[in-house]
Amino acid sequence: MTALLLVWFGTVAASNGIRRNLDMSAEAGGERLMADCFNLVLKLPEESWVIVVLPAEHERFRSKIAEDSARYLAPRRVDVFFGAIPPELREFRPPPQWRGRPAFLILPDFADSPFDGSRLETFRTLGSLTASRIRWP
Amino acid sequence: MTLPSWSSILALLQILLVGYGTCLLCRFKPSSLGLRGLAVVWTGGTLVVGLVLLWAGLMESLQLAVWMVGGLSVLSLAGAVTLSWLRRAHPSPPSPLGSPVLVGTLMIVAAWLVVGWAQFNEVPLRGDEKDIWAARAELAREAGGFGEEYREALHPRRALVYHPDYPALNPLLLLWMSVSGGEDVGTQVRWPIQLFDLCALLYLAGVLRRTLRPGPTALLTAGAFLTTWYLLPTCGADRMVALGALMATDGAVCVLTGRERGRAPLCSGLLLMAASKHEGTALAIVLVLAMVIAQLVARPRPRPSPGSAGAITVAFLLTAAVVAGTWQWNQASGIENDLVQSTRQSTGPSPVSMAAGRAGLLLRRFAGGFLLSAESSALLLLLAVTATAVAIREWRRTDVLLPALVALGGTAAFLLVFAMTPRRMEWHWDTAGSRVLSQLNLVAAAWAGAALARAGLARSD
Repeated sequence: MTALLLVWFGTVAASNGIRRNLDMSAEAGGERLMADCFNLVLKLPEESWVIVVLPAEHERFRSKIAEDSARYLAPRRVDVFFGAIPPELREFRPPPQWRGRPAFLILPDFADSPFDGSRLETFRTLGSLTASRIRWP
Repeated sequence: MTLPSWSSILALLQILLVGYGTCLLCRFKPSSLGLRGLAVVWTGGTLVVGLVLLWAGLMESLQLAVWMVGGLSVLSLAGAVTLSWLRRAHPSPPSPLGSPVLVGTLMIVAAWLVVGWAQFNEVPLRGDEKDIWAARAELAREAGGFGEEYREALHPRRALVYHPDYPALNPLLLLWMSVSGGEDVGTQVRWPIQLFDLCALLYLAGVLRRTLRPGPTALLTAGAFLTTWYLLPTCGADRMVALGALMATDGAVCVLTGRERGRAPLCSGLLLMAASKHEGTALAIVLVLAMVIAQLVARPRPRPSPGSAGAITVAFLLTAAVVAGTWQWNQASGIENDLVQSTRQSTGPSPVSMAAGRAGLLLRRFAGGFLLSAESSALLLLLAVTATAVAIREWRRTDVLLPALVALGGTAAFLLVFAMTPRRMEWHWDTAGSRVLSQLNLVAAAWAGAALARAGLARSD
């Protein structure tokens, strides 16, 4: 009976739990950051323009992020950049239809810490829009 | 990793305190159940907090629930402190924790579960978690309760919620976290549901160690948690049904054998099942039938302790009240179960004739997708059947027979639903089959444990 129990446990552990747990740990980093970011954007008003800057290494997820943004975050306008805000955006002048609408710049602090969506602070004027910066503390 | 906020911790602590207070009120001492006590306390707390929130929601004043639960928590704390002060004069001997092997294993598995919850902070953007459970909690929060606005939003024509007819405990607990924890609980909103897994871990260990040696208890407990479910810790209600089924079955074994205190686990397990999902109602019916069969077939013949019949009746009547309340709410809100509605409106072949034609395919799916899948069933049914076959002379023992009847009867009931579904059977099985059948994993583990003990792995003392 002990042998039967050991064979059973070995089979279940080898084919299932241990492998999956390792997979989950490996994937956790990138998925988590994006999940936090999505969570944050979902809290913003639907008429928002949201500029998100993610770490450069997340560029490999570009198409997935674009697809998910379009599917889940609409009708917000979401522009995602990797690594840094491109220079042309600093000079960006938003179209008139965006004037007066809320805009948010999401700059994650890439340290491993929980995000806090409630901390909105006026950041700076981006073009003619007043942007709020949201950051992971 | 998401660190718990103080508001979340306080919200969870209040559930625990209210649960403890409920046990005191029922003159039940949770520590008398050892490792199993936490599940009874937590279940009691979630049921009472859910009930308070339901009442406050119907009054359309959710904030009222925060005050009421706060008051109940303070009362419970005062009761606990007073009781502990009174008992100082007559201290009871501490109950043994168990062998180092078992304690170590439980700590590792518990830490693994908790780290998994903290790591898994994905936002539910699709799937059952968002469309069934979180959607109802969020709609209630936005509507400020369960008034006309909420009912209107719940109606199927709005398509804001999938399966609005499901029992309410899960969304009530999510709502509790939102209402009491504030806006920023984020994915910690899942924690009261996920804590049922921790309760299940301890409960299963408590059941198994009653008869099995420490080593086998540790292996069987840990193995039962190595399934997809516990690695994907969303806030689905299937885990609540699983724990409820285990508690109710174990409680029934204890009541029938007159061995230990089983009434509290039986009652709280039944209520948890029925308040979580419709499958819980099906399993409660299966349990009634299993208890009747065990009374007739088991040897030595079950000898319930005096007064048990009344306690069993009360437990099932309370469960029936939960089912009736859910049905009444759905009727009043114009909500009907989608399977029932589709079956009623169908002009095609009858469910029985459909079931006959699908039996072969369904059994193949069941074998491949659940029975032989370590990820879904943890091979627990196979282990239980094998151990029972080895100890075949002992199959009529109540502790082997009753969980076996519940596990097999529940499996048959669930398969029947899939066979008669008005949906396309393959689609229905693929979306729900292994998940729903996994609700019986913990009962199967209890069955396997009892059979293994009868087959030579019984504890020596």
